[in-house]
Amino acid sequence: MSVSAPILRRRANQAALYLSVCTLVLIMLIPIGWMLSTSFKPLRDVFQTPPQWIPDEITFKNYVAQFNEVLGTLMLNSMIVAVGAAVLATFVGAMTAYGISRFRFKGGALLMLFFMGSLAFPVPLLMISLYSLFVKLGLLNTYAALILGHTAVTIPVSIWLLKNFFDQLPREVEEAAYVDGASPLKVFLFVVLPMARPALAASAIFVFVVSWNELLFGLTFTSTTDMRPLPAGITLVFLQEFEGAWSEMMALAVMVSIPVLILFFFFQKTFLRGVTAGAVKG
Amino acid sequence: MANVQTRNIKKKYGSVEVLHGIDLEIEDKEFVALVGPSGCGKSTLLRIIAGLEEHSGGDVLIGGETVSDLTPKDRDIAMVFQSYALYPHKNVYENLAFTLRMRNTPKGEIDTKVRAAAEALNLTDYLDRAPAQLSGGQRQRVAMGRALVRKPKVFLFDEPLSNLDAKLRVEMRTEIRRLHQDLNATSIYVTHDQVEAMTMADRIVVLHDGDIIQVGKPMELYDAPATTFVASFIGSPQMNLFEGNLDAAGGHFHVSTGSSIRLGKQYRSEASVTLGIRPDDLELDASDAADIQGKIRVVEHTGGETLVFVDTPFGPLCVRAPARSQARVGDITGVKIDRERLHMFDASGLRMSAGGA
Ligand SMILES: Nc1ncnc2c1ncn2[C@@H]1O[C@H](COP(=O)(O)OP(=O)(O)O)[C@@H](O)[C@H]1O
Ligand SMILES: [Mg+2]
Repeated sequence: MSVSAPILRRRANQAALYLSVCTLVLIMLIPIGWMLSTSFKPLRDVFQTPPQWIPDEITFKNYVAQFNEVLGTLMLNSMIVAVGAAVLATFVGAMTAYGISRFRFKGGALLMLFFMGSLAFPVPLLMISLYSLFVKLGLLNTYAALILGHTAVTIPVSIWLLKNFFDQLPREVEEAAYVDGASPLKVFLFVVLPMARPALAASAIFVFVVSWNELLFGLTFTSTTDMRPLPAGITLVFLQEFEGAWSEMMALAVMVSIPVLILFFFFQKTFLRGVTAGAVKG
Repeated sequence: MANVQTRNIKKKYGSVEVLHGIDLEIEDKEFVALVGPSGCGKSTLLRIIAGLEEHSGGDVLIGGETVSDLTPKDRDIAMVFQSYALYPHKNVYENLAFTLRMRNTPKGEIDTKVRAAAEALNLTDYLDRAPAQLSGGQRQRVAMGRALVRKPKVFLFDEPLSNLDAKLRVEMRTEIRRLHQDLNATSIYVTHDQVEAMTMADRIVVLHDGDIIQVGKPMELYDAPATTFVASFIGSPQMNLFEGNLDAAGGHFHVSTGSSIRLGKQYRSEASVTLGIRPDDLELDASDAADIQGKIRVVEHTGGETLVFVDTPFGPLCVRAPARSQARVGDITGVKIDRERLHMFDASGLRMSAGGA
């Protein structure tokens, strides 16, 4: 059987593509693999030379040690903050994006550029101004400070994602709702938001993950363990109290990644649909 | 009373004017079709009447009162969209109920009205389905139901049948006409399909490039088209149109090839005119009495009738012949003209009347 030249060329291209994608994925997996490997090692084996991927001795002690009251508190804090930020950034983002997409006004495009540009702000800079703001508002060491902070850094992405989605949503359905007697707010709440579910889910997942992993704000805006979110908590606990307990730290890191994995496992289709909605037309 | 009037409606998109001052008078309970080729501004006009689009000048009146400052909600209208625009996340029942809920109708009344509308449109078995689970025809009926569940003053239709297959389209024509009569409402129906306009409407408004060209009953437009545009737009197959000139006396029509026809009427003499003859007003005639001779190029049997295309000195000509016509391609034939039904248009395409010597 002979294969024509164009088909061969296409296959070669495909092979090259797969090869580069695989390489990239592999590179990204190395730290995750090392985290997993370390989390099952006894502490004395962590720095053994030569390094070993498969531990000589596999232990679950590192995991068992994590089930304590502090972990519960940190988890709960992170959950409250991440869910709060996801809901707030997505809802406010949706209103902003819808307004810009539907109600034509001068400066809409400029505003979108501004949102995009705000992503280039160095986070520490943002942190300082937010800090002084929260001091004045008396919000330091509250969930609200973290929720607002995480909303501030994620909402530009949320707005862009949702505006892309609204731009390609047919207007006629909304117009039908206006004719049916709905006010603009009701159209938004009862017609637009339900239709935007994939994009809303994508935005919420994005914000959740960013918030869940965020360290700097968590460290600076909170001062007591009962308010601290996971990343900040882990850092402080392990760097101060149990200095150098690497294998336990890695075990905790594995456990903390699990909610994010579960989230993606259940919502990956919705997430992709929401993210790519603006890109694939008709 | 729900008559609809538009007074000098203008619409600009940027610097482009797409409606140039539309004056319309639509009577209470009338069924009016807005017809014209794609892009002529039909949807824009309908959407301005609905309040979905702002106009750049003029006024819209419903029931004698200006509604220009009212939102669609307060104009007491219902609209059926070409895309149906159903709420994709609501089932059929909720699609129908939405407008009643938005107007704070009591629960029991909502249920009664939704079920009545579903009954009238044969949707009772599908009330729990989502729009995605319905066929095109069923979706179309839901869109209709959403309009008629509430009794609005005015129904607006924007090409509601153009996404249906031919058979369903014919069925729905009668259905919509019947609903219009049952509901006693005023209906404005936008379509690019002149057959729909002819079969459904009490009166037809022909739009072209943002201007009203002619308003009249279907047969008025058919029998006396005001311009060559209306002449060629209304009627299928199209009216035969020939360019030529009238002699000094205005009684004969000449074409550049030298052939001429006696018109049997007097027109004012014009150097450049267009003569129109409908295929229905022509007859194949082998006898000496024939007016034009020609050669048959194509014969189309549609079942109930035969369309015969003849090459003549005046140009190609379509003749509507009876079913099972014996006409054969290549035959030389004569064609007889019904002189009572000639149409004459001047150089700018406007209809000329006969008789004025
Ligand atoms: N939102 C818009 N922006 C700019 N031009 C438009 C817009 N909507 C319609 N038009 C133009 O207005 C004209 C009339 O459009 P429309 O009313 O949709 O025509 P029809 O319904 O008769 O096909 C068209 O030339 C169209 O390109
Ligand atoms: Mg249209």
